[in-house]
Amino acid sequence: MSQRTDYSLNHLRSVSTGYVALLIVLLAATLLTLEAIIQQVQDGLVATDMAQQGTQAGATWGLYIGTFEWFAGMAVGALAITGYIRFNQLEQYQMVARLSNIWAFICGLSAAWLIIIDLGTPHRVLVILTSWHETVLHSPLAWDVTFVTTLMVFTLTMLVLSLRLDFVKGNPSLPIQTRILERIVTIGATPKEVPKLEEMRRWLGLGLLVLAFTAGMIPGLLMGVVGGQPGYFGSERGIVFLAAGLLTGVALLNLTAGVLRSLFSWRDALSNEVFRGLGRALTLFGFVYLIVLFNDVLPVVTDMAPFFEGRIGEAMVTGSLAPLFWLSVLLVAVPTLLLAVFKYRLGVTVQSIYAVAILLGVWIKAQLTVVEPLLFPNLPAIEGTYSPTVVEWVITLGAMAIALLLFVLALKLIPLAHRDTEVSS
Amino acid sequence: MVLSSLGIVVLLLIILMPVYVTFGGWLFSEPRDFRTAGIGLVYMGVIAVAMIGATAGLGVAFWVIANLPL
Amino acid sequence: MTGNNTSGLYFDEEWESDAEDRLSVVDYDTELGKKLGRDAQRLAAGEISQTEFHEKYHEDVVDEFGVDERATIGPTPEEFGYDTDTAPGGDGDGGGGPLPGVPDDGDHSRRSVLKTAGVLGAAAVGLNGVAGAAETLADENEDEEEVEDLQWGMAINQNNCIACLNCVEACNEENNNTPDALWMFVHRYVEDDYTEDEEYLTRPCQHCSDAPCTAACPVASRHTREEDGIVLTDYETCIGCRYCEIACPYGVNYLQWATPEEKAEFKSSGIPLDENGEVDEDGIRLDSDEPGIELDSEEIELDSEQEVRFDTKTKDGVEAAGPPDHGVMGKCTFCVHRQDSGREELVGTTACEDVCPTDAIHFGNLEDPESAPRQHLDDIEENESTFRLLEDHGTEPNIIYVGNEPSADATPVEGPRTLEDMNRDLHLHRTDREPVAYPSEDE
Ligand code: SF4
Ligand code: SF4
Repeated sequence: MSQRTDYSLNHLRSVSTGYVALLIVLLAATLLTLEAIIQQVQDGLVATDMAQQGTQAGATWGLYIGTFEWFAGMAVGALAITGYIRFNQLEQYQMVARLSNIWAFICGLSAAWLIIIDLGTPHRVLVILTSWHETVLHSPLAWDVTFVTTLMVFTLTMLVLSLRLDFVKGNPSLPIQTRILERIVTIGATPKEVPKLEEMRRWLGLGLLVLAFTAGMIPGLLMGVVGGQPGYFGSERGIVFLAAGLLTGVALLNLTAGVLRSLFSWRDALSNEVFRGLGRALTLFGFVYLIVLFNDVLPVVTDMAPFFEGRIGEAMVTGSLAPLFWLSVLLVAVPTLLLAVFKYRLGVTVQSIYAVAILLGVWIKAQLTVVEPLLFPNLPAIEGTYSPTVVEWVITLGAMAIALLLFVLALKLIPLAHRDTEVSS
Repeated sequence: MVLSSLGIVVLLLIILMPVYVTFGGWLFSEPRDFRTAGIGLVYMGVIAVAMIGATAGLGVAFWVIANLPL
Repeated sequence: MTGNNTSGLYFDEEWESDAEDRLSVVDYDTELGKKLGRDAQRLAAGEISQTEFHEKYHEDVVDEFGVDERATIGPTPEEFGYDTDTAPGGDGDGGGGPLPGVPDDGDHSRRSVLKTAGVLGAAAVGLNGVAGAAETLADENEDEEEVEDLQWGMAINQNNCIACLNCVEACNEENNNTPDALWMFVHRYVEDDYTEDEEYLTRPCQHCSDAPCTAACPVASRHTREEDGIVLTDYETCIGCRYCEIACPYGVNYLQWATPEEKAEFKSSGIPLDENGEVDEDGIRLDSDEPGIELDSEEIELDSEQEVRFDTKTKDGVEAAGPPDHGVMGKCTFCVHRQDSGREELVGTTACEDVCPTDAIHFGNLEDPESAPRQHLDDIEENESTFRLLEDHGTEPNIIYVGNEPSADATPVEGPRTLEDMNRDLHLHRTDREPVAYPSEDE
């Protein structure tokens, strides 16, 4: 095939027509999303289809919270990948570490603003912080806010620290915007710092790993501790969330690395070996996710769930929500099985397509997890319905578009790997 | 009472665990270099403040949007 | 198991003979009554768990009374993944439990269990004697801590309810709520497909002693008032996250999704708030520096005795009475504006209670044996059962129902007030929202 091409920082400078086109599309999507946000903030949550569960026969939480869970999960997954690579100092995977680091931050940010847009009075968001010292003692939502904030602080610190290390080691001829970034992250830096910085990056990697696994439990607590709704039954919620998060994190990385490799032919920084590793991780976490899901559904199939859980499970497995549920399962199961059988013989492109399917599958399930229990009230009231409005769809899909926009912009600012020397020009 | 002590456990043991690990590692790992570790801490602190400030800013932004005469 | 006077409990000889005296005048098993009363105290002291308590006596109670309606049937707390050992009324030394407690209320929680044991024990068994015994003892216990204990609550007699929905209307009127916000609601349902018998469940907020909504709130906006146990929302800090609604198993919370076209005015056809100058001519209480909703003073005739505005602030100055603001959560406040009005005619009353034509709703201080709910529970027929709604959720509700708890698979049925009616305000703003339908007959 083509000759090996080393990583050469060219993504920072090159501006192709494709890039400009993508940028324009994403910017347009962002503007549209902003429009929807303004409309919702002005009219109130009545712009959505969320309604009281029970007598208003609605779902109290909807797409925003579901997508929040999806983004938060992905953030945790990406965080874990960064942490793992940094802690074990897998230099071969350094580009993957940087990519997942960037994604972890962007996903955390997206999760954060989606939660705020879900509030009835988003302008009071500051109250969460001012009453935090009191509510953190008992409110799982306050724990959640703490978790997302910690996540963003840690990922950004990792980005800054690892960039500082890369820059101190020397990175010749950077474009102007990256020079500015370099100035910011290398304040007071000296070449003598290198061994200490490497050590600090390693420890921060461990911190990220710990964060991924401890904070990954928070959404479980979020739903579980306050067990008002059947189906939010707590014990396994955390595991479900973590399994989904690791899977989507790896899938996102697979997709990003696959696309970047075909765009820039980085067969060195994103070698076949790297893709084999990512493929293995995808298969593994795919199976973990499916097993966890199976266990989630098992009590329903065997009729062992208490009544309320059973009713929800039934709607999911055989009832009104079944098409969506089985679609979400297939979207994960088929790629996972194909990966297990054919390994990576099918190539990077196919692997990227798998990744897209998995991301979509987990997203659908995330919606079901949130909405499903709310449609079935405990007391004899009507089963709810929920069909998101245009505003909700625009904001939800817009959140994804904005995340992508941020990533695409980051590609022009942040070097994805460290290079000692420039290859050629 | 019981839940609030659960909250303290969650906060101190679970949520803050990564902070302990990271800070401990930074300060006490070889080679000892408190200057670099200190700079790292300052960066982290600045980022944390920025995040919280950004949240506050977002609140103000939403207030403005809600009151725009559109 | 003799446990003489352990942990400050009173099952000494005096108690024994007192209980015997009281129990001998009724027809039911004296021994069982005594055992129940004794273990009810143990339960209150946290020596045994609620589940243990119920399990222990389930058979006996069924034997004696043919039915046990103490809400232990159905999924146990364990099935919900709860650790009953640490559940309220359990030994309480571990974390967890379903909703182990509103912050800093260890004492409060223990006392409310005592109440549960006193009131519910008596009502379930139909023995006034045990209630009397337990209550006397409870009083003795509490005398040292606090003389006047106040816990607002209700006894609602489902057997009286005819689903006329007067309470629902009165509530909305009193609190000037939008029609879709059903702080008070009457569920209509049939228990199985073979009977046509409709049953009703009158459902205000249960003002739980161990309210999960309070624990869930990330801004401490939802709170339980120490002095009288009313669960309120601070309208000025609520961020509208709806977590309280997620946490509440009863579905009593209503977010103000949109600003109603005509801004709700909070007034009531009651008696003026205060005659001696505490109210200005707009009906706004003078001691609150921030008037709630601005009203055109010309529209109100205060000298006529009907139209009066209550304060939207409680007596502690918390904005928590009447309708919530846009984007903010609301729910039944136990007519807190009446409780805080300082007027004898209004304290201890609610709008729903006032209008109920069949006297199904009894509001009052559950701590006071003379109060309307306690009296009603004393007066009911011996074979009538009582329950607290979804008790296995561990929320310690302060509404005590007379009648049968709806089973998990009860089917809702359509009533005189259609769903379209209920949703009309919601539909005003959401024209494309699918109309909701009751389960169809042939399903
Ligand atoms: S019924 Fe629901 S809203 Fe009312 S106090 Fe209990 S948990 Fe809170
Ligand atoms: S909706 Fe308001 S009262 Fe309810 S939990 Fe959120 S902030 Fe608290």
